[in-house]
Amino acid sequence: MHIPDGFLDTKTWIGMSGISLVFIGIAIRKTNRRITEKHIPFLGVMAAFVFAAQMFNFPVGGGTSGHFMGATLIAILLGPWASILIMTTVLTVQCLVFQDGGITALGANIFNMGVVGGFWGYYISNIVQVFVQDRKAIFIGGFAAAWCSVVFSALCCAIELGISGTVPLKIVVPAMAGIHAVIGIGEGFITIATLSLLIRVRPDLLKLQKI
Amino acid sequence: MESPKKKNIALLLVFVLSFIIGLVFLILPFTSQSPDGLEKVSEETIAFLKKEDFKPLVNAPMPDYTIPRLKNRLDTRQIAGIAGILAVFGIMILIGFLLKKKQKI
Repeated sequence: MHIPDGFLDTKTWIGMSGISLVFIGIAIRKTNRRITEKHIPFLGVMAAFVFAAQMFNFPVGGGTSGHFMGATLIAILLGPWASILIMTTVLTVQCLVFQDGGITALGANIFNMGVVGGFWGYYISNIVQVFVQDRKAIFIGGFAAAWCSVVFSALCCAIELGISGTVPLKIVVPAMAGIHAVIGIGEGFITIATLSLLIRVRPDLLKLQKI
Repeated sequence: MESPKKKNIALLLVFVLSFIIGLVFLILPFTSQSPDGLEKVSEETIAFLKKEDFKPLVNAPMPDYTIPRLKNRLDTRQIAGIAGILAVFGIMILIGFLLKKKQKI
């Protein structure tokens, strides 16, 4: 879902860059206030894991593939502001070193995958866990949150393309939502598989204070 | 002398990073070559734009996770992957360390 250069018009990419900069600024302040020594290695490991997982494209049928986004997983483990910080780091390295996503679209990519993915993922997971109160709540919440985060991120991407005048909104919105509704299932399974592994080997990490 | 706690964390980090790098070597050969969701929509489903129609504004050193100089000699995707993993890990640790150091209580 990395938007390359040329897909967004000037007003849209400048606007999205401004919005993302505001969120990154707040994320830095919140992290500065809440970070502890225990968080530091976990931030690095999650960034490395998300980068590695995003390199793997899994087939979703119809000659399409999808890749893990990771914002929801980070948000569940470390909180939504940490998710923005990690996704910003990963997306910036992908853009500048690997040409994955355009430099003019970096702000939009950070907003779609980091801000929307992280916040929706975090709050949907928490809301589900309020209603489902048993051992499986974290998995049901994690799966629902991961699926929603991918679909909502894709919808934001489609709206940005529509606002740019690249393609009519009424065409791009259903197309992006349809494909990413399938990709979201893969995101959900990877999220709960990782949560399940962490619960077995390091359950204490899930109790870290959220940023 | 380094405290045992810090040594344990360092060992754990080496183990986890090795695990992630191992994962890259294990899964990359099975990665799908099909276009991803946005590429599929832009190139085939609606066919409004092609990624190749636009030149990137910045020439990245490892475009599309390959190393141009080593192409055809090695599977450069895996080497590029390791470089990326170590880069994001290092940058994130540095950011975390700086934010902790400048913490306002």
